[in-house]
Amino acid sequence: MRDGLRSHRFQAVHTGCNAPRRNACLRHQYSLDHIRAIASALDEARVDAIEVSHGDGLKGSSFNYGFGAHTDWEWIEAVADVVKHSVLTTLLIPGIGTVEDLKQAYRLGVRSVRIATHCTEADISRQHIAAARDLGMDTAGFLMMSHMIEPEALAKQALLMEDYAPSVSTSRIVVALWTWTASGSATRLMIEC
Amino acid sequence: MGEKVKVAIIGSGNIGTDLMIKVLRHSEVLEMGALVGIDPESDGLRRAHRLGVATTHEGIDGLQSLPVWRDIGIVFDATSAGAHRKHSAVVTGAGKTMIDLTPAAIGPYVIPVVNDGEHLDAPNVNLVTCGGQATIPIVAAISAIATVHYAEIVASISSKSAGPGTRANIDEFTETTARAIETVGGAAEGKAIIILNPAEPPMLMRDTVFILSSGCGEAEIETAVEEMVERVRAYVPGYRLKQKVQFERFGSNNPQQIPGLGRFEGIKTSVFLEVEGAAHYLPAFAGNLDIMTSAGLRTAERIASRRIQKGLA
Repeated sequence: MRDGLRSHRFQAVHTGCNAPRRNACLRHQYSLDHIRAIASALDEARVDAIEVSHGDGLKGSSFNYGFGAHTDWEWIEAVADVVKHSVLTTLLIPGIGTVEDLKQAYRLGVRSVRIATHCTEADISRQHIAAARDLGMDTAGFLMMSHMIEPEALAKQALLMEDYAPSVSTSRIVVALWTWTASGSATRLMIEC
Repeated sequence: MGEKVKVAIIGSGNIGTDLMIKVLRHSEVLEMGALVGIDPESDGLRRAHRLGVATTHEGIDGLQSLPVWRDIGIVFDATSAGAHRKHSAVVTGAGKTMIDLTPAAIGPYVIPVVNDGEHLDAPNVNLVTCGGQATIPIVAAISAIATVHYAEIVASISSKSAGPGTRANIDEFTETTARAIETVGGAAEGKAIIILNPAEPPMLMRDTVFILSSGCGEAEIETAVEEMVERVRAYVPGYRLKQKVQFERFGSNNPQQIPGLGRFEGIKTSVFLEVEGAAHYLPAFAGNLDIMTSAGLRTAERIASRRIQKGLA
C-alpha cells in the first residue's frame, strides 16, 4: 500500500497581518481518528482556523495527485464533530474542485475557504469566489507559484480576485501572496513528517 | 453526385473562423453558407468576406434574413452556453440540425469515433469539451473490452488557448467532461481535471488518461488504445501518443483504494496524449481548439451524408 509511504504534511501558517490568523492544513493519509485528535488539540489551543482538504483541495483525490484514505466529506465531518472554537476552513482549486463541492463543504460546516489558482490565472476563480461570498463564507484568494511573476503583475491578478467579491479583502489576498513570496521566512512554518 | 449540404457557423471568433476554414478547404460534403457574428470588425467576418462567404454581424436574426438561410441544412454554434438556447430553438424550429460546440449540452453528447452513428437524426448534438474529445475515445476503447471501474482525465492546455468563455465557467469543463466519460466512455465513475499552463512558448495540448479496469489483459488494452489513437488521427492529424501506454497491476494483496468508491483489483492504464493543432486559423499549440473544430467537422459530415441520403439536403 502506498498509504504508508506518502509524506504527511502538517502546515501551520501564521500570517502577520493586522488580524493575526493561524491556519492549519492537514494533508491526506491520516486516519479519521488522527485528524479528530489533531483538530481537537488545535481547537483547544484556540487556533483561529483549521483547514481540511486533500492537499490539492476539494476533490483533489485522484490518480494524478494521489488518493486520500477518505473522501473530503469524511475528513470534514470528522473535524466538524470535534471543533468548538476554530473556524472550519477548506481549500478549493478551480479546475479540480467545483462550486458544487464548495456548497457541499458548506453544508458540512465549512465557513471559510482559500480559493487558489496559479498566479497568472486568477480569472478562473471568478465563479468560485462569487459563490463563496454568496454563501457568506470568509473567503481568501490565493495565488500559487507567485515567485514566477513580477510583483506588479501579481498585484493585478490579486485585484482581479478582489473584484470578484468585494468582501474578499485585499489584505487577505496580499497576505497570501506575501506568505508565498516570502516562503521560508518566519511568516510560514511548515513541518514535513 | 457532388451534392453538398450548406452550413452556417454562428460565432466569428477563433473556433468559428477555424471551423469555416476547415469546411472551405477540406469538406467534400459541406459547403459554407454563412458566417454569423456580432462585431462587423471581427477578423473572422472580414476573412469570411474576403473568401466569398456570406456574413452577417446581426447574430441569429441576421442569419434568418440572409437569402441563403432557407438552404442551410446544418448550423454550428460556436458562441456561448447562454446564447445557445435561443440559437437552438430557431435552428431546430426551422428543421435544421444544430451542432453545439458550447457547453450548453441540450442535445446528446457526440464523440465522433465513439457514438456519432447513434445521433445522426437528433435535432441538436453537443460536442462535450476539448478534453472530452481527446480522452473519451481512449476510455471507450478500453470499455469495449474490459470493465472500467474508474476513468480520470487531466487536460493541460496553454493559458493562451483558454478563451474568456472557458475561464468564466471552468466548472462546466470538469462537470461536462466527467459526465461524458461515464455516458459516452462507459466508465462507472468519471473524473476530469483541467490545468491551464502559462509556460512560454505555449505548450501543445496534453491529456493524460488514467483508467482502472478489470477483465482484460495488458496486451489487448495496449492494442485497443493504439488502434483508437489511429482512428482519431483520421480526423485530428495532430493527435498522438506521447509515450507508450503504461500499466500497473493491483492484485488481491494490494488493491487500489479509491475513497468513496471502494477497493479494486485490476489494471491501471496510463495513456499520455498530445494534440497538435492543424494551424488552419489558430496556432499549432491550440490543439484543444483544433480537436473541437475537427470533431465538429466530422460530426457534420456524417449528418450531412445522412441528410443527402434521406433527400433532405
